[in-house]
Amino acid sequence: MNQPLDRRTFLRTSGVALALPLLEAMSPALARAAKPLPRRMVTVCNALGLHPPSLFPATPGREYETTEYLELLRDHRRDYTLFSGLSHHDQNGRQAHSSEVSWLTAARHPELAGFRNTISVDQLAAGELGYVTRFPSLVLGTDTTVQRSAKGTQSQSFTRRGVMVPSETSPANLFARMFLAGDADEVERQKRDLGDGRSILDGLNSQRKALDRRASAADRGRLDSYFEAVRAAEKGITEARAWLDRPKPRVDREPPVDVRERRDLIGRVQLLMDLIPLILQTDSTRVVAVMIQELREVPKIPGVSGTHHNLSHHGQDPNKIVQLRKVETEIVKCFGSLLEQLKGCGEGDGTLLDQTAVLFGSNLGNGNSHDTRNLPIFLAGGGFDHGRYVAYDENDNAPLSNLYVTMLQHMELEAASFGQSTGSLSW
Amino acid sequence: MFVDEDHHNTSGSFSATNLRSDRHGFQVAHSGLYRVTVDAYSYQASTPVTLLLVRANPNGDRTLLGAFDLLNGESGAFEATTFLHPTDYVFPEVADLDWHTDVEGFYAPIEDWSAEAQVVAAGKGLGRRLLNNRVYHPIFYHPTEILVDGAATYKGEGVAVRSLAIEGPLLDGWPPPSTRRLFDGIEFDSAGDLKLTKDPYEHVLDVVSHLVPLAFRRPAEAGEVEAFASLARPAIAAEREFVDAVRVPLRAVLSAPQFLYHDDQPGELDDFALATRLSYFVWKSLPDEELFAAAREGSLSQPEVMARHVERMLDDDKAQRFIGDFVGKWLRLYEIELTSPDERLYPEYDDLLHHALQEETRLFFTELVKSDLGVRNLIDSDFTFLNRRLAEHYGIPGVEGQHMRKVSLPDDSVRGGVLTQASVLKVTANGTTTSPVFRGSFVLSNLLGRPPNPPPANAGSVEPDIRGATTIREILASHRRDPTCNVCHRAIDPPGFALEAFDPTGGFRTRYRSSGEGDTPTGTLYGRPILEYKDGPPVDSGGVTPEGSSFSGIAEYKRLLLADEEDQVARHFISQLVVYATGAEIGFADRDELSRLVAQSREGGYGVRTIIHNVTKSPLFRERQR
Repeated sequence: MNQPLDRRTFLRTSGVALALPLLEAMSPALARAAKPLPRRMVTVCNALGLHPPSLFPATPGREYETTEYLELLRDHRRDYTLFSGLSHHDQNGRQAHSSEVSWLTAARHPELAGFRNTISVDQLAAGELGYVTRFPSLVLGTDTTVQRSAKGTQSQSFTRRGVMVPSETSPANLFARMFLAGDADEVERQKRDLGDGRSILDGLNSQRKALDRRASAADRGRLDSYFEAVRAAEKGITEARAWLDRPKPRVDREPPVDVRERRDLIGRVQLLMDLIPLILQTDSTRVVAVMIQELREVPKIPGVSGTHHNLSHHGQDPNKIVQLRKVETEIVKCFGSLLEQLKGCGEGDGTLLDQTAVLFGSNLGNGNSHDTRNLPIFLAGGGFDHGRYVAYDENDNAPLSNLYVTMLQHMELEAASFGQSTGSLSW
Repeated sequence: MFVDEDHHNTSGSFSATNLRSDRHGFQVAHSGLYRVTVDAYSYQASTPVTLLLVRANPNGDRTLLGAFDLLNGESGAFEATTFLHPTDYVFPEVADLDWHTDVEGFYAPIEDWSAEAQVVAAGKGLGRRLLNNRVYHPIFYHPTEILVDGAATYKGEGVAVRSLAIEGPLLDGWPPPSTRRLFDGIEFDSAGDLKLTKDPYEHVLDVVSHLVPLAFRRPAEAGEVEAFASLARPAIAAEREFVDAVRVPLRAVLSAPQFLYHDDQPGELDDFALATRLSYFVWKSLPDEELFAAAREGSLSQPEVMARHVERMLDDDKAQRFIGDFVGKWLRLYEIELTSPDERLYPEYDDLLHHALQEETRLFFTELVKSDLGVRNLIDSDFTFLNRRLAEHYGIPGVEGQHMRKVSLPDDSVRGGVLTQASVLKVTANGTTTSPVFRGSFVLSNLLGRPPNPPPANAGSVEPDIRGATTIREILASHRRDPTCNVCHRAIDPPGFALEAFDPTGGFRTRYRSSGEGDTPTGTLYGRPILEYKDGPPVDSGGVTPEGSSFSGIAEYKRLLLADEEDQVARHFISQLVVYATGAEIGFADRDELSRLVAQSREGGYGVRTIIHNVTKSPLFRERQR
């Protein structure tokens, strides 16, 4: 960016009013040494698929005809690419929806005996970027159910050791963590907590030698990864401590009110979509992953009487397909609204969307048959050449991992490969 | 359902929302255990009506706390104990009412009623989505009379509620025993606050030296207590509150590898490690004082001492944790919430059934353990556990009341064994359809321990169709004609074919339910014609095993399993128990010992309790792998 941002211009284009001082670029002195604009990525998964006949056009290329769902994204036709014929191999898992856990990781045979997940593309990027922002990544979800296995609210983000990162399902909490300063007592308490955490980690480290002496070879491997986690936590504490002393960005917006009613899936999705531009604009993080799911309740949408999960198993029942399309229509509209808002925020000479690669799709190509091939995949923004429908071979799918490599490269991370990649994807 | 305020006045009209505890100012201030009591009687009921107690919250979560059948004129106080959070509320609901559908203008489409009115006299199944085949929201309908005129002119069956009481939090004293136990050596004043009687660090030492052997399940090693306790020193020096200070070492103990991992030297486990392994196997928790005492004496590894503890622990209520967790994993019952049966195809599926079918499996397995019944009962049994709701689902007469109890199955019943339990049939189906491939694979993997290979990458997937024109067998026929597919599917599909006689809710069927083509069902639902679905194509549940034995349905298939596979089922069951108990896979080197265990258990007819004893005596349990 060459020109310092004029505050008035900023307020006009951002769609969200921000109180000064906020962005470094607004200060002429800092702007002279302005850094390049940050690259970002957002992934959004609708875990039950998108009804293929309503989504995919017949003709690939730039001149593709519109379809029921693409019509909803009419205003953004030049801002996204629609892919078909992408998938991960070997997604037969323990149960029909196991591919949820491997959508962002590309691990094979999810949840079968002996399965251990691998790092997800968002966590890989977050790990590389580190605490350059207050949060290395934000993992969001719509299903507030805490899993029976007590691993927390579900997400598709996994650490290097294959541990799920629980999703944040409360936009109000998230808003508070990002923007609300908290009173002096609270900050003091947080600092004390971090200090205690550091003492605990020191204490644990100090016992390592004694433990190593006792441990068998197999256990030593496990202890190694335990202490690796301890080291990572120490680093995290140090970084988080540093961020505690930096003022949080001030935003001139009322905190969101959580949608508590389980049936209001669409309300929850929309609230997250509304928050993402603010997250990115304030540079709170550069990596966001969203999982859209609500298995148990009937979505609160006129004309819909079945649960989303049930409708996805429509068994070709026309009445169910009609309802399924109503649910998916609302979800696709939420994606459209995210694009709309990202385009509405100016940044540098362009918009927030130009700097943000947005992946939207599903781990199921067909919810009725639980097919994990031919996934519906959109890539929007990120400065890529968009406007086409790119169809890979439906019988011999191209690796979705290649697209992830492309996204990592967009993040300016050195990534020659990811998951099952055979290269990067260019189209 | 209405509120009987003075035992005589039944003229007011009341909505079920009025019976929510929060609407009457009952909002618990503190999370905890509460006792909920509802005093109610049946009203104009000539058949049993069911009173339900439900807990819910503003998020839309809903949990059935209890179900009670009331016969004509019966009354009583019904209670359930439940954990309540401040935002939770409880309310009574009714089920299985005969609504006398001959009354004109009885049902009404949803748009005719205000939001408040829609939940009046909530009776699940009451005319949901049924007028003129139109689909309505799954919300409750209610008789016109009770809404307009009150209960006095209502002709149908009902439940009248005299009172609803919530008592709690139920505590064994304050502070609770768990807090007293944690703060070893510290006194509490009458308000429940801590009273320090010496230097704070001395107290920290007391607390930590009490917790460390408990949490690490062995005596503390030299310097270990101090290493943790000293973490409180900076906080004490900063004059922070005692609880704040002591929390630092406590958090460290509970984050330490010594607590988190059951690590021991390879080879034979010492008595403390054995106590840990046994306790986490049967109780999913720390050893109790008796186990620790046996470990300290060094007697636990003696077979007869071990056997005594196994008996004692299996008889304890805490063994239910093992049973729930084991069937949750082995039979995948943890996945029971993943799908909800389609409301139009399976309108009879309700909370009461959902709860009962899970209880059946838990109680069935509990009985195998308690009475040392043989593994063949997993394949077929002459008993199961039912309440009236589940018995009706299974078509088994003579079971009154909503409490679960052991029931002898009629000779001609298709039920018996785990495969025909509705819980298993539900988790092996999605909400709408069943797949012989999925269920067949489940039988091979989970009962017989012969998991099929995953399908090749280019294998197609089956596209279910409920329109009534084609059956899943017709769809599958083509792949069975393909020799490449048939190599595996000749083994995978047959058990699935046998289970085709069961729908996704575990109900027995001779015809597939269809949302499109088919005949109008002849039966009734809640005393009215069935309008939600059609009877589609007939079900064929016959098949031929890969060994060439043909069967005409589930009964014959179970007979084949009993004749040929009992040893295999036992072997897989034992191996699953070993995996569960040790957390380690069965390695190649373990196969001889596993075979010995199987042979040893065969003598007593593979009694499940005997098997558990044998497992705890086996080197697979008593040694740690290298």
